[in-house]
Amino acid sequence: MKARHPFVEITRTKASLPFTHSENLMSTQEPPQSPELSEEIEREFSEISKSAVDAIDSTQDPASLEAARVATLGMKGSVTRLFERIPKLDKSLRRAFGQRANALRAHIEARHEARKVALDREALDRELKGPKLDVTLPGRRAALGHRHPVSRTLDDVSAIFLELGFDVAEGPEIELDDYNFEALNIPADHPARDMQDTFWVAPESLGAHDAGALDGKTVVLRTHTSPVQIRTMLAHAPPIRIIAPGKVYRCDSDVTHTPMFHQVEGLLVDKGVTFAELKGTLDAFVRSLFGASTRTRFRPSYFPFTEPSAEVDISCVHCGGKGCRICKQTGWLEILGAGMVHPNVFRAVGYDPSEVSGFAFGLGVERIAMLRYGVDDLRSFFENDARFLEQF
Amino acid sequence: MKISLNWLSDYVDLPETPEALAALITMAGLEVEGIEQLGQGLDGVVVARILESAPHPSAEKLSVNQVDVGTGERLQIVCGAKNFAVGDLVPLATIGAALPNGIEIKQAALRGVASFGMLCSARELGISDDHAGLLILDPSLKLGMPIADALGLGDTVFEVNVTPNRGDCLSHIGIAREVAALTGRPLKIPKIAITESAGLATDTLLDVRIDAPERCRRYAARIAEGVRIGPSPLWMQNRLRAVGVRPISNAVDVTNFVMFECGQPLHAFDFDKVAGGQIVVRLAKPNERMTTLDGKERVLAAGDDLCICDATAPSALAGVMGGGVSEISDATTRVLIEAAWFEPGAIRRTARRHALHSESSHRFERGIDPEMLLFAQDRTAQLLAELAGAKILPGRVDRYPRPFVARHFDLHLDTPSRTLGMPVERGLVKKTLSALGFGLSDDGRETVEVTIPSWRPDVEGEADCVEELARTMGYDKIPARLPCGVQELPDRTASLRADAMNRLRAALAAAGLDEVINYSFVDAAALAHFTPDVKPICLRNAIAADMSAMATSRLPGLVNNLKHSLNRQVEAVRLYEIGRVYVPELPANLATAPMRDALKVSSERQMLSGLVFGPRAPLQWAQATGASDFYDLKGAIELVLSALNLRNVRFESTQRCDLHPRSACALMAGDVHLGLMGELHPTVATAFDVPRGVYLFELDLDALLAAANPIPRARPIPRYPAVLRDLAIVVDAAAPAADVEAAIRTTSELVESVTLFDVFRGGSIQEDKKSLAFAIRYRDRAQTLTDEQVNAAHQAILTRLGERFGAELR
Repeated sequence: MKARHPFVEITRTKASLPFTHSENLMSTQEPPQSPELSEEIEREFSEISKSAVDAIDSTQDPASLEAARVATLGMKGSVTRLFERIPKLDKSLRRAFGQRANALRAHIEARHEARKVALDREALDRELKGPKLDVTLPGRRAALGHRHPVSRTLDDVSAIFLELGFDVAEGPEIELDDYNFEALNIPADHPARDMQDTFWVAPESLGAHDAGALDGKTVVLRTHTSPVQIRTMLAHAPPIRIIAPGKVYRCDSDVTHTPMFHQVEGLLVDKGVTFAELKGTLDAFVRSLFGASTRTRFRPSYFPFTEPSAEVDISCVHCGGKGCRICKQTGWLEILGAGMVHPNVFRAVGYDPSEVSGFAFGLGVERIAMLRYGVDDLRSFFENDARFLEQF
Repeated sequence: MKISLNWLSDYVDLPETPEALAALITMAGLEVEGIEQLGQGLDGVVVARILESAPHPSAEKLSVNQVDVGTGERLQIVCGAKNFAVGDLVPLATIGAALPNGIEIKQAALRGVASFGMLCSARELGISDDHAGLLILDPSLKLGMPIADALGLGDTVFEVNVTPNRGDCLSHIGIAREVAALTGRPLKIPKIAITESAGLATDTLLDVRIDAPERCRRYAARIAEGVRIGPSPLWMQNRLRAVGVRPISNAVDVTNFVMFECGQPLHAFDFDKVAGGQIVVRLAKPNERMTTLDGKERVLAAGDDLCICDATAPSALAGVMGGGVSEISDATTRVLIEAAWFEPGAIRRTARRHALHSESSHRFERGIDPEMLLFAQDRTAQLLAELAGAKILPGRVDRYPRPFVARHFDLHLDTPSRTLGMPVERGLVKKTLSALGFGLSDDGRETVEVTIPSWRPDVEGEADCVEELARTMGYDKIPARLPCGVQELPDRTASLRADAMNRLRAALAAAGLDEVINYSFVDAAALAHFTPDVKPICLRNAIAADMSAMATSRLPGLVNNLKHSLNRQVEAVRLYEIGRVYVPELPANLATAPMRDALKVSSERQMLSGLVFGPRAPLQWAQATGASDFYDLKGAIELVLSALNLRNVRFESTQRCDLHPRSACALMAGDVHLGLMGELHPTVATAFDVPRGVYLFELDLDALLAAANPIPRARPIPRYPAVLRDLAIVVDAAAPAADVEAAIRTTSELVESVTLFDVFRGGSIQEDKKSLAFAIRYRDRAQTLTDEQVNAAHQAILTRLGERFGAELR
């Protein structure tokens, strides 16, 4: 076993060692012969030396080299056996014979080492010049899993608003009508309720077996993330700056509607917040998500919980606004609704609309994911076909 | 709601083009969702006169006619209809015309007689369902005139999305009022002149009683006598069809016409079926039933459904649908015209309860203008007189238990500025609100008293006024400003680096690589093994001699990390590092260039480097493991590439002093060199005193991230089944498998995917050959594949591989 050296020394000395060392050994001359030994013995040494060197130098592979080593330097090897004769020699010859045998052994060992180095080098040369791997063969690996495109989009959208200083707020998905509609200025029997087909929760499934248990309240699956606005404002005094990402439900299922989808609600309430800040915030969001050249268009619209209300279009991400199949030749894509918080909503949560103002917005995550990833069938998000999922 | 521009232009002068009008009202909150051109597909259909008509010589049901289209030429037309006479004007589809129903007119011989066109019915022209015979035209029309002009069919129809708060815009006058306010042009409301007959006064024939005044604010009735039921004139039919209403008869059409004109739903009763000459507006009684116009018997909700009753029974479900008993029929001569105002929420409950969503309930739910009601009624009476010969009885019955009282609120003139975040001149506030019909007190104070017009029940206070202002000015006039303390954000599509980096690191972790952070300064001699041609930047006062050179490669550090672990009996080492490599790059003008030039003395590239050695998986009872090799490292790199959605990266053999020539390869994305991978060169391994079998990679991180597609484009999921076929071939041992695979992929468009599943050498395969086995998935995105198609593609692939690689089927 080689000694382990600090790295520095290895590179400085040992790296070049195999070459210089072997060259030295190759050029080592046989030591001068001892005059005291008889010619016969000298001849014998010479013969053993010659045959050992021949045996070692003629080897072509590590196995035969090892065989040659055993035959010469091994326990029963020709060189080793010389030492067995020493006790039987005349005392006067022992010293000279011993020196001579040691010298021979050193010589043969050196030849063996030189041959070993030479053979290794040849083998490496052959290997380095040998056939190449097919580096184009596929690697060995497990399949990488994928995140759902909607969850990726939710993260992307949230990340932007977190950067804008919004916090994430949450609320229940099984929601009281009071939060989902009433507090948001959508009274019962108002045609605005047609805008959102609602899932109603069976009261008995909540354990309410008599009419009084719910105190006349109805329970729905939230139709939008807007009730989180109400819950947040009820729990906190202004200023407020939140987004509420999550699932929402509408009783509608066709080519362009799924009964469950995702929204990100946003709410900013403070003193002196104006429509200009609403535009600025959504412009910044849209530019960050869809690219700096994306333009927005705010169109007057109607939501019961905002006044003024706006639908927000972005210039088509596909054609840049020239008109194409994706934007139905209009150059615009509708992606979210927004507006200034309605004074009635502030009153419902105990804020004074003459003191604070604010804006709210809600965007459909699937819509954005469809644009972002070029998905043309909304339903594929919830079919979860493996061939779809593996694309993201 | 559909809006006919022909119709709309009766009330206000419209902008030049339909597109300009659409943009104008869309940006004011009345979103135009669609624009439809009517009268299309009638090119080549003209007015023709029948000059002669003779029976067909061999077909009893056909006639052979000579017609004139004003050119002096006589055209022979074979026709199957019988309802015309010589001299009549009829529509002729000339040769080459394509009718709305898809029929193309060609010269033809009908039972041996040549015909040069087709005489058309109304249905064939797509203007009604009438197919009883030819459409007989007004005899005053000019011969040869295009039929669309002759019938006034040319029109543009908008589909307008009216939000639930704007019930006042559910009519042509309502939209016209918006257009007038937005353009400053005058609104032209039709003048009504009714000549009342000398008969009995209405209130002597009819008694009206409102028992539920909280649900019916106003109920007005007029009576028309001597009504002659018949079809309404073509102009009215055209207008109703344009807005999607089927013409029925003059009496019914007139009520629909007036509703679409001014937004007031009207109901016409056959007055002779109104028992006792009495109308009672009351809530339904327990177990009360009635049959509505659609023929369904309905059980009414006692105490909530509001009914219009005669002396005996309910005659209509108020505001929702009339009753069968008092329905207008061909025999009707006396018509009671109802115009009323019903409570919106209750109408909505009734409509939902009975699943009866009608044009009428839709408008009542949204709140109608109680002050428009008499206008609508008189307009109906006038049109009945004009179009159905009706005599209007003197006077009317008008019960108005809760008269309209205009609502007011105070508007601080600064509120719009404070809400919108921009200065809004007080003069503009007043001018805009006045144009929209709001009344304003003007006494020069900061606050004005605003009077809400009767047609705007949605308006409550200041916030609504601000919206009116904003939408009239245009939201695009409002500036965009970030909230206090918020910075503009980076464009994430331009630099998706952070996202790509997260995905890259996740993939490296998934591949089982641990991240290391090595010192940036290393031993110069160690670097020389990897970058012999680069002289590193060195430190004058290094901590140690082997920490004196700035890395020109991160690989020596990783190899030393490996050695460290091996010395401590760690068997499997899988590492990566993200760090820079530094190369001197001294600008020539360093001494003279100004600081603002952002001077740099080095080029610093971020590299992703990594290393694997040892067992490819931890010792495990259920799974054998071997030493990691080239393909394990390649697998890890492929994970990274797939996480970055980087397809088509090529692995090409290359020469490097630090990599074993057997496996050294370069990663190429198109022409871009992404980096290197392979086995550590044996002499370098010896120099570092580490075993053989160390596999390394070094990728240029910036190039990698630049080539990444972090936002993939989804492909639709195929609908048709795939066909799987295996292909085992023998090729030269040196042929790269990827080249063979690419050849398979590009030979046939039906190839969806190619997977190499076996590589074999030895056995019966010649020594310089290898066997490759591929699983090929064929699919056509448009249809189910047949065996023949797949066989042909499979054979084409085999032929191509034979030509390119000398491949033989194994």
